[in-house]
Amino acid sequence: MSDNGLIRLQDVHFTYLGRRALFTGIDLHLNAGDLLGIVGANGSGKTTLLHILVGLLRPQRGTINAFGRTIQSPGDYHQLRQKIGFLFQDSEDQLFCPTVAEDVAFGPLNLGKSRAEALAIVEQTLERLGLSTLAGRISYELSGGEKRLVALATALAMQPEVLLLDEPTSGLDPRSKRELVEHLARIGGTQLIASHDMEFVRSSCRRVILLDAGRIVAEGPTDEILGVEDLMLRHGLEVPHSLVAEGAIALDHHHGAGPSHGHGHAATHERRGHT
Amino acid sequence: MALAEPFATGDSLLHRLDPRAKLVAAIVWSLPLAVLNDLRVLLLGVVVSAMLLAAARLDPPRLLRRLLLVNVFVGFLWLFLPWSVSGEPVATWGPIAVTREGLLLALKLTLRCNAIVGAWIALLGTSRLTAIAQALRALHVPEKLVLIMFFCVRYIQAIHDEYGRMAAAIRSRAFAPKTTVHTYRTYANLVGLLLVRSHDRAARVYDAMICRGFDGRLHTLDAHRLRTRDVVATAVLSGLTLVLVVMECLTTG
Repeated sequence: MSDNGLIRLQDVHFTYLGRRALFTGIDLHLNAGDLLGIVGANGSGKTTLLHILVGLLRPQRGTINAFGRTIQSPGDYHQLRQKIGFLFQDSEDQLFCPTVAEDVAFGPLNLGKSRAEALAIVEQTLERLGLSTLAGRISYELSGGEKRLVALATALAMQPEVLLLDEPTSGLDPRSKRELVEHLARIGGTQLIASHDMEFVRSSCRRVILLDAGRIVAEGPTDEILGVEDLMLRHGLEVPHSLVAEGAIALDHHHGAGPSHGHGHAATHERRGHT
Repeated sequence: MALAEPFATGDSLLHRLDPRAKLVAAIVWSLPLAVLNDLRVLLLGVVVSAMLLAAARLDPPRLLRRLLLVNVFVGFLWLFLPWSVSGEPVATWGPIAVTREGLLLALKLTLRCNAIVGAWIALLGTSRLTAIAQALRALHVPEKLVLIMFFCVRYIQAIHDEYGRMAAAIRSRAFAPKTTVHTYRTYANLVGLLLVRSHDRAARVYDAMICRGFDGRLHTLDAHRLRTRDVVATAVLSGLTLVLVVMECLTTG
């Protein structure tokens, strides 16, 4: 692991019971300060990969190193999850307490914080996301955008070192999406974002990995990967409209149609065969 | 998604009482009342419950709706008991005789039910679900039971909403229930899928919980301290319960 490496998956194999193998030796490095996007079509394994990272799913083979130690036992995973904030795909699953404040306090209380400390964290976190007025509201009565931000608050209240976000923009209108992008930019730190919303990934991530059928097929700086039209189309995705508008796309990198505006290195990041 | 707690917020004396005291009072009140049999005693029980509801200062239309819902089930007793309990007939229609004993039994059950439900709404409806969960734990109810209770209540609405979505989906495809195999099969599929989806939802919620450090214990923000007024309130209600029991004993000899 590099000096600033936070999480490293090595040769991870994973198969859902009764189905064909999804991951057959996947590697992933997440360094401190990374804003890494995982893009891929439906069923490519994005959510599974995130779930493996937090131990909700256990790989059949391979190693997970995180925060300087190898993660093996349930106790290791329990400790790991205290350092990782996870935003689930469906906010409804994440909000189960009667009020917003209680939902946000759930994590800190589990971490052994006193009520006073938990309340202070709730106040601070909600204020950070501009949600202070929602503290006493009943979670299920919130709008979709509010629910997503409150779910993010529940993850942030854990004061995590890494934030994992699973399809954070699904079901959000453009304004809520913009708000989320702004908040994530302000939050900074280390973020791993799984999404097939290319515009969102482009505006939130510096680096992306492209996943298809459980394989990392390309990896590199966001625009260099998302700008290769052929690559994107082959793996069930599209070049973000903003990139098209900027004219910064490579139509077919295999045939030398190099991308404009200096995005000509995607081919060097495309992986061949199994990873 | 969850059930709303329409009576949980307020500033009445009952809202301010410690949930543990209210839980004990509710249990102490309900258990004897469930077996008391004298009509006057039960009537007094209803009066006490009504006083508790008045003290809780709940929204009357909402309260009436809640009580009406309970009494719908009681209504079924009135449909069957008056003519199915043997005794002195007070009216006859052909082979059907409505008996005094049947009417009395239906009336007693109605009073008993309303006296208990009214008190529970006044005492426990005025506490948040998390506070009740905490009170149960304080009374040494096993943690797993507390969690099951907590999540059952919280997700009844979610399951209902899920059912609503699936029912809308089948209606949108021109489904009209009839007495046919197709209808039975459709409802069987619907119920089956509801179970599967509920299970999936439960698994996802559990995942979300353990991602936030859940270790099997439910911690809440509610901080309660047992005060003199809590002890007094529990003692008063327990005293009233005792009065009812003594009255019952005196009337039945």
